[in-house]
Amino acid sequence: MKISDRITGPALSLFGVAVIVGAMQLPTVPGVRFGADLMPMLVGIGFIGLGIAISVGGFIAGGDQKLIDLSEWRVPWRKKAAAFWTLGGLVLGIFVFHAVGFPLYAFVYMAVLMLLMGASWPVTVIISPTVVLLLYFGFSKGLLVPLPAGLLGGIL
Amino acid sequence: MSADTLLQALTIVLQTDVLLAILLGAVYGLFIGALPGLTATMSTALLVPITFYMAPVPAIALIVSSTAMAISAGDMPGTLLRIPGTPASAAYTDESYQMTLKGEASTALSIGFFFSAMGGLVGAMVLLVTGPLLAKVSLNFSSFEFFWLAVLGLLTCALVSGADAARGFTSLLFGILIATVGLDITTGSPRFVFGQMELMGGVSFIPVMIGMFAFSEILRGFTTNQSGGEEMPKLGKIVPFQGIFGLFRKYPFSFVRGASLGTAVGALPGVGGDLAAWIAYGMSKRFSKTPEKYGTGHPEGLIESTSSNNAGLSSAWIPALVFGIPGDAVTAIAVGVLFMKGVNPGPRLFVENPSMPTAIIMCFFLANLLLFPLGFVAIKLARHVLSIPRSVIVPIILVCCFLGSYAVNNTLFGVWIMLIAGAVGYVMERNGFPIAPVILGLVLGPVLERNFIMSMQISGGNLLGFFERPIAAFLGVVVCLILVATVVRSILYFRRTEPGGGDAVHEAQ
Repeated sequence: MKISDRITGPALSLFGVAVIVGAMQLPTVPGVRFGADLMPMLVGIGFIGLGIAISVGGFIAGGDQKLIDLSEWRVPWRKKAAAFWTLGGLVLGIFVFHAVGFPLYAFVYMAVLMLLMGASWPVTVIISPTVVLLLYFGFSKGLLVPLPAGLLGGIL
Repeated sequence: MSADTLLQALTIVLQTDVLLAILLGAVYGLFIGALPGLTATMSTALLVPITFYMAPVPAIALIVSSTAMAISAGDMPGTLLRIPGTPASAAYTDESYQMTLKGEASTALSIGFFFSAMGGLVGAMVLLVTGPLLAKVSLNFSSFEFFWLAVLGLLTCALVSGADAARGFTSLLFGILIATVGLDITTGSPRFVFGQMELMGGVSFIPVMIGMFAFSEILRGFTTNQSGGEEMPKLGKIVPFQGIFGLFRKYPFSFVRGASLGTAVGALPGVGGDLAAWIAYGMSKRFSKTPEKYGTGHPEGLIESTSSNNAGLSSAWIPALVFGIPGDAVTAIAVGVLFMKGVNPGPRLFVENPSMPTAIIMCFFLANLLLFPLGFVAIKLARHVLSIPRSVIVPIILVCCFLGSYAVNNTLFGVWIMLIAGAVGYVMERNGFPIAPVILGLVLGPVLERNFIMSMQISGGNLLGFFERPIAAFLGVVVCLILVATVVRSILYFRRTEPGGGDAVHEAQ
């Protein structure tokens, strides 16, 4: 996804203004001249300046480039679906993690992605549960990370 | 450095856990580096959650050996598939691929591993000798010098990591801004936490890094044609390291020049080893008696640039260990790991606990020595490693990303951070904003702010106070000169840009 500098520049400057406004809301401590707001203020000023520089560059260069170019996503549906599942599957995972448990969720996430990326059924059926179980036991038993077993709690 | 320190360091390194970490790191780095599209930085990022559970020296040993191996193994996909495994190997991918097309894949791969190891050993030796000396000098540094050093590191990283300085600085500011989230280091008041308790302690750099380097790279992979199915040319007979000593005798100056240049460039704060390979390749061609052979599968440039990238990798640790200013993204991660373990890299570390930095340096020697046997195996197995499809590797990496981000605080908040950082990282990279400065800004932000506030308080807000001490003045002038040169260069660049050519800057990325 390519975004034109004619959008990026002004957006950065606006973001800089927001950072400065946010910094101005920070509480001050009596007697402290250089407090919590100093660094964010400088960063905000930097964003405004760089935003202007990038905008100027974009407008000078001009050209017929689209404001937002999504042409790189003109790929086969499988790739689009895989990209969507990569993101969406993880977001879904955040919501079902504790209820479903890590092993089952990770298995489904991995298996779907493998199939979407073109792996064969036998490879998917062998690799995904093996890897998930190795990671689950490695992290939960070896490194003592509290990974919920969820629906498979009775088995694992 | 005393013999006692060396002996103590050797005792630390020879512990089973350290040796095991070096070996496992090397095997892991070899595997990740050999796979097209998976970089050394990504491999390091994925290791961080594991280092959580390790003592400082084995943790750093794991990072050191995996990086050294991943950088060297990164030459493999470049040589066999013309897909550079790391940014450093991109400098000479065409050269090594041409050798493969000529049926000399075995020689090209051997050069990659052999001269990487030799270059790495030179860099490690320089690190061992200069580290303690520089640490002694920098013991007299005050907040002013450390402020300028931090600025210099951030500045150079922002400048060298992309074609456009404005984009590099923007990335840098993003990193510094993220570093301001949480409790303020001077007054203790919360900043930009938006009522989220999890943000009180700041944004952990681990999920940000995993997201920006690993997750965004995977997303990017879906838009390109790098999703497997790459055809390997006929490799010819694979005999690892055959004829390598003959090449060493034929091009000794290429090795010496590459290793020296890599060491010098890598030691510059904020620059790191990637740039060294590019400069070395260019320099090799310039000084070669047969420059016309470059690009046709000529080993000379390959020797020089591959020696330089691992030398730079070792020497990038000079600013990281001595000043606490990381030389590149990998050392930024490693410095973050050290901070996480309560070990503050800097000159005091060399005085108060000299055996620890020395042990870390010794890990470089072991990691680079391991390149010889593991390189031998890797060259033998090259075609098999490369045949593992991305449809298997990518899902495994994504589950590791999830686990790594979750394991930071055992909460799903880290996974959210990773997801957001990944999406932002993807958009940034596609638009020419480099990622490394974000990570450096995030790691160095608190160092920069602390020293800046302290210096402002000492000087009573007088900016001229930043130039009163001789070394601070020198560093300050260097920083100012770099800034002026950048502005002048940018103005000249825009003057040369023809209207109507599209957004020239990020078209150039």
